[in-house]
Amino acid sequence: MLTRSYSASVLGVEGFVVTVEADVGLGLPGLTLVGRASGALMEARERVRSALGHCGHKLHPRKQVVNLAPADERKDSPGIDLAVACALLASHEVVPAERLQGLMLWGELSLDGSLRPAAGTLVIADCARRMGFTSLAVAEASADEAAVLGGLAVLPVRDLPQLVAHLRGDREIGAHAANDPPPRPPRELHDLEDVRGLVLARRAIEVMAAGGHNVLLHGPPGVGKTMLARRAIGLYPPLDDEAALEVTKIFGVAGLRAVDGLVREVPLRAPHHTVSVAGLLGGGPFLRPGEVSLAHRGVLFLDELPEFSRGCLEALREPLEEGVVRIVRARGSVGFPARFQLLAAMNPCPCGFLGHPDRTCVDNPAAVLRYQQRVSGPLLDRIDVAVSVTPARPESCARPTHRSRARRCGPA
Amino acid sequence: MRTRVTRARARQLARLRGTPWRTNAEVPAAAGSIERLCALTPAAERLLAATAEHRGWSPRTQHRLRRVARTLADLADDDRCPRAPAAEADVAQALHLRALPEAE
Repeated sequence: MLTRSYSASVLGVEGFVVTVEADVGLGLPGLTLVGRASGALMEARERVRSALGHCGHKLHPRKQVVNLAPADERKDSPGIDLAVACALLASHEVVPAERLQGLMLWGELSLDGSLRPAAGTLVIADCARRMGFTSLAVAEASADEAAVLGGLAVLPVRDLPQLVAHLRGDREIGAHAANDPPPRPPRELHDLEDVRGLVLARRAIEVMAAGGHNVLLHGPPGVGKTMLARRAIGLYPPLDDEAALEVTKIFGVAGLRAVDGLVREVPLRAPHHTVSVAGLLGGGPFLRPGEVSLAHRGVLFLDELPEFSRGCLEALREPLEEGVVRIVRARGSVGFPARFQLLAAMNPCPCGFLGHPDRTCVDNPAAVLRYQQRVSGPLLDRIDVAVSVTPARPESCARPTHRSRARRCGPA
Repeated sequence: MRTRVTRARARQLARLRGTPWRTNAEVPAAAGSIERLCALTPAAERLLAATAEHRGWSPRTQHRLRRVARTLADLADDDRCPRAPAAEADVAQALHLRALPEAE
């Protein structure tokens, strides 16, 4: 008997529906999976067979073919396991095939039949809603993430027997109510109020947070460039609904965390300067988002800017301008959103003391020029605010006395 | 400082309502949107043009400075209408805040 169930796969930050067809027919006994399954999904055969066995549904010793349509798109997430299992159960007439209509299935099976969450649940829920599905079955742990959007009945599934009972109508699974997770205690955020001196640099950070501009801080080592940059994130208001949805989708696709609701904090990504171009922009065998996309709607902090490879720095030019990064590989192309703000820090010369009020730079001019030329003109052209951070004078670093604090509390 | 930033963001949202953008930095240069949404007073326009010519800045740099000047106007403490053009002082400060590292 030929049966169908529905799942989805992720391409970039969008999902597309995958129809899983199962057929039991004559031929040598075995389970064949066709339709460009790759990576972890290749092993779905073994997981599904074992999970079904452990739940008391042995496959008939006949030829079983499972097809994943559209057959020309590559599918690599084990989240399709559950749909494969359900299509097979329906073809063995364990569950009624018509109950699988309008239901999207998303979860990875473990060998004992329990369901694990798979990455990218929010993207899948969005896809299900757009394509007119009425319900979505996911692992219990990712039910909160799936229910964020609304407009879908989200069924939290613990294990395969529970879903079988639901599909047979023996014991229905109640739809998961979207409950707002208790507000997390706000991150330990440092404001810039307790930073002394560095007037110009503080102003630059303020402008950056207010208007979404790109900022370059340059100055001698140890004056507080990195400290300022790390505090900048504390000035940002939380993400609004639309931005939070975009950021949560990207985080989900990257498998960064099991999300319980939307990401509300403005992302701050600070890759080390040894990052590769694929790590920064995205790519890899399964086209994952890179640091620029993970910093979408947030801040990408590049400390020691000239130390980044030339390829990385030049590759930033296009996303800085367009707000998206289009990764093209032989297999296909995919666009990731990357509307990030660049915050960069650098020393003015290799020794770091060029322009220092008290110390002398020991580098020869050619070396200084070479160092500064590592950051190209076109990249600097895309920086809105650039300030030189000079060491704070000792008197402005001192803790304010009671009198000066009283003064500060005035009109400021 | 956080209150100032929040207020500046609110002013931008009010001005950019009905457009796909949320912050000054996102306003594109194309089709005159930047002249409309990041307007400058005549004196400020003159200052920007003169400095750009003096330092040989690209149109992109000028547009970026225009946006920064707009943000500075949004950050200002006074009760200027959020649609009023950015003043000369804002442009001057924006110019001051663009000190790229240079070999001496």
